Amino acid sequence: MMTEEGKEARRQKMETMAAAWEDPELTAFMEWLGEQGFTDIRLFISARRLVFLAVQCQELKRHEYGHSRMYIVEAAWKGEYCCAYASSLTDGSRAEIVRRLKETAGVYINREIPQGIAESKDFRGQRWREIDQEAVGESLMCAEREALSCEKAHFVEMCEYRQYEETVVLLDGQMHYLADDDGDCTVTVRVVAKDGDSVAVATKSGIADGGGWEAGPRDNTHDWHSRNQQEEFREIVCGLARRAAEDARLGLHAQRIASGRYPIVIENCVMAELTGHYLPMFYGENLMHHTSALAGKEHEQVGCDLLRLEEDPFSRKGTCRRRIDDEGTPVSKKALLRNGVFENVLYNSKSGDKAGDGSTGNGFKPDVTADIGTSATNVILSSEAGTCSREELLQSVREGIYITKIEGMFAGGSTESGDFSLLASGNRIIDGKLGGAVNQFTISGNICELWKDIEMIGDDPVYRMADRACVVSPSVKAAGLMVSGE
Amino acid sequence: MLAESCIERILDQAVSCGADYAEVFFENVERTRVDLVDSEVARCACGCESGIGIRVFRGLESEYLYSADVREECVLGLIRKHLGTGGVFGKRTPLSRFTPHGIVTQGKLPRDRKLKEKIGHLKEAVDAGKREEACIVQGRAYYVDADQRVQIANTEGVYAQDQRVRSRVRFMMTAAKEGGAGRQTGYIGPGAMQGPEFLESEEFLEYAREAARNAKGMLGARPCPAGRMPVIISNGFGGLFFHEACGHSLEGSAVASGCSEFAGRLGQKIASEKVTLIDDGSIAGEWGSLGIDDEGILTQKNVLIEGGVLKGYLLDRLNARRMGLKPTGSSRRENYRFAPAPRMTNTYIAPGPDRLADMIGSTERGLFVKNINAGSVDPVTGEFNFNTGETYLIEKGKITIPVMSATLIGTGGEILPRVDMVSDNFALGHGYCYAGSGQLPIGAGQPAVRITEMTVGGKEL
Repeated sequence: MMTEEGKEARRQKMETMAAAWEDPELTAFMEWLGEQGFTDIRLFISARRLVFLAVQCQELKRHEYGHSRMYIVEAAWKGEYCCAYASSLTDGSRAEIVRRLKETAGVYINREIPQGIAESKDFRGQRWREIDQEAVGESLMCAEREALSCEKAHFVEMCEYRQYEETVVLLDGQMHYLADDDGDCTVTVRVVAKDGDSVAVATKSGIADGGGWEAGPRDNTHDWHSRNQQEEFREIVCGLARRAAEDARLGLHAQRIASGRYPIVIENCVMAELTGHYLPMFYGENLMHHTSALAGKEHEQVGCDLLRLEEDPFSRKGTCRRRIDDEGTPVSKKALLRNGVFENVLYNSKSGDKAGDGSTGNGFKPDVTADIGTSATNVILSSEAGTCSREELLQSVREGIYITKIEGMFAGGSTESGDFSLLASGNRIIDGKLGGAVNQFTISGNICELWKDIEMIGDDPVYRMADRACVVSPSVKAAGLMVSGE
Repeated sequence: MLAESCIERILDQAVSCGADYAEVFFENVERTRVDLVDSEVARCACGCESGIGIRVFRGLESEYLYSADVREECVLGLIRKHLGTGGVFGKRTPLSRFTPHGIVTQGKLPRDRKLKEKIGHLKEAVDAGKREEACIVQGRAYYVDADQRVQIANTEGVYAQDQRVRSRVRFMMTAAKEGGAGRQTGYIGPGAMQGPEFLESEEFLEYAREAARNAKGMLGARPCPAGRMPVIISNGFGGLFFHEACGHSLEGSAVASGCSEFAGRLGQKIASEKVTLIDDGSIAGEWGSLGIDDEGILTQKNVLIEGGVLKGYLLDRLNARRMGLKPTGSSRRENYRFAPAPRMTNTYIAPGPDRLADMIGSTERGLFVKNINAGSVDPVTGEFNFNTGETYLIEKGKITIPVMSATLIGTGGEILPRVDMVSDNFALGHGYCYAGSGQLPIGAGQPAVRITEMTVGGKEL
């Protein structure tokens, strides 16, 4: 009979997946699968935790906490590859796993049987910190007050903290293991500005360093409850709130703009979003199936000389911290574009084997129950030859548009052709200075043409998430883009 | 499923933290996903997932906990740790079972057909699509089915179980000119609250053929002209237009906080008198339907706009509480990992008196949008955008040439009064909606509708 302490310890161990490969329940499960007739068994376990806090009108409106887990089994059944998943290993779930494994055996053509793990390794390096909910809430309320104290700020629609952790463990039939983790904590503030009938909204989000997260081994000096940590967190959140309020104010009394072709400066967050949407153009399977605008253009000039796009899993500018991909292959730093030339393709095991190049450590699941696809870790857009300040970017434009927001990326951008047509808003640029706000126009073009037209690259990188990848980009200035307005 | 006594103990633990309302949501879902490229299975994911979500209200504040570990000791431990126990013990009405609407039109469950049989139907359909037009160079089918069983109980005595069986396929047929240049892809994505009968229906092969015809129709499409012009949006999934242009702005999350452009405007005229907008989650057999919402309230037909006048919002319990109104059976979530929120189900414009032929014939120059790919909206400002699929130019009252996908933009407040014709050829389309409480299956429908003028984004002036 388990004591209350024992039950609590087991619950915590389940949540944190401290050493899954030592869990007798897992060992028993693997053995049991073998007894059912499955061979070459490989288990992928994902455990996730989430904390979420939202403040509105100086009250803590929403608080959420949760953890979830998924077991994905790959094996061979009568020599054929098979796979299935379940969120637990109860008797009912086990029966369902077996049913589904047998059902999927033979549906793939020439799918490789899962490989064993050569050497056990633990790559985990993140440390979830239990936050002081009251202190985080206080900081969010402080940020809300900060935003509302700004000129024309009417309402703070969103002021949220989110902390997320995922631990992944790969196990083979001999209980060899590979373990890794990832996570971050972010803050998002969305401010509504109002002046008469005019309403404008701006959103800012950022990594909440000093929040409930710590990269690297636990250090006793990193204590959330310490005054320094709380002050640092408050500074970050209030800074985001002030910038959101200011950007919202700048968006008031937006006018329509005449259709035409304009020189543009694309704000960092917009460029990060655009770049992130087109990452699939670098994926091996899309190039091989000719569903990428870069198909057939390997080692060709697809961007300007100034342009560098690089995957760097080890960069602190991005939020991804993975050291192995979801197939257990080590991640690596690689240039996607160097001096505007298409240098490297991203492969998982399947696409890499097909290409004859092998995996580049980019085999990731688009969601935990899905089959392996391709993705990236931190992808950073930078300049090969010097950067400019935002003021310098603006000063280089006599009459143009500063794009601060885009919508419709999901369906408005084709990775097959590189074309895009998106709703946009921003500010006029008149004689090198920011002018009045403009909205309700579309920008249309092609990403490769945009890359070629880049003339200046800024020094103000920010990050945006693009599915599994984290894209970091500064603001850029490009020669021209088609705008449809009045 | 959980034993009723277990649910009662969980509710008791939840209200012991001083909450005035507590709710338990348990789900178990079996799901199959297949991605077929030509005749080959590119990806396949089959499995089951279960979990529990517990929500409490303290006045207008909410707390939400979820766990994949549904063992009673773990759930109670989670509640004790995160909600505490030190409050005034809240009240709980004894549970009373009720029966949801019977909206699943089927005789079989997804597990009653083997995976290889389903793949066989998909291959047959993809082949049919490829044979339909000689220019088709690739056929793709993305299929999903799910059997979701939920239990919902709360401290107001609600106790209900529901089963949602859904199937959907998305056919993508790619056409190319000789030599492989100028590729265009046609999409069709039907779904239903059905089991394997969906794959075995007579219409199934026809969906793939239609996607092939769409793709061929767009070969040789010219860049869409940009500017302001009349736009006719065809029936069916064209209803996504209103889903985005005003539907999200009528959901309680935006309205209750005063952030929606339609907040505080009940009883006011916000659209042309031709517009009647309805959201109905109780339609039997429809992809976006459910017998009870995810808070245990019966789904219902909600008239949101009638003859242009704003009649109602979509409200869940929390936002109804905030606004002093009744919930409308509109609370939904993707799964137990999400707290529920008011969301659309099957949203459509009611048929009107006009005829499509008259709409086109009376348009000097404009666009005819046969289908919409996707769109999004900011409920605060009402700014929306859409990307169109199969699109044609209208010139001198006739449909002429195909044009490449265009972006339609505007605000709900600007566009709704500009609907001047609504035809009688109603149809309902199927898709997904992505918002705060996750990805949800939705229906979006309408008859053909004309908007007198809106901004069209394209590459050519």
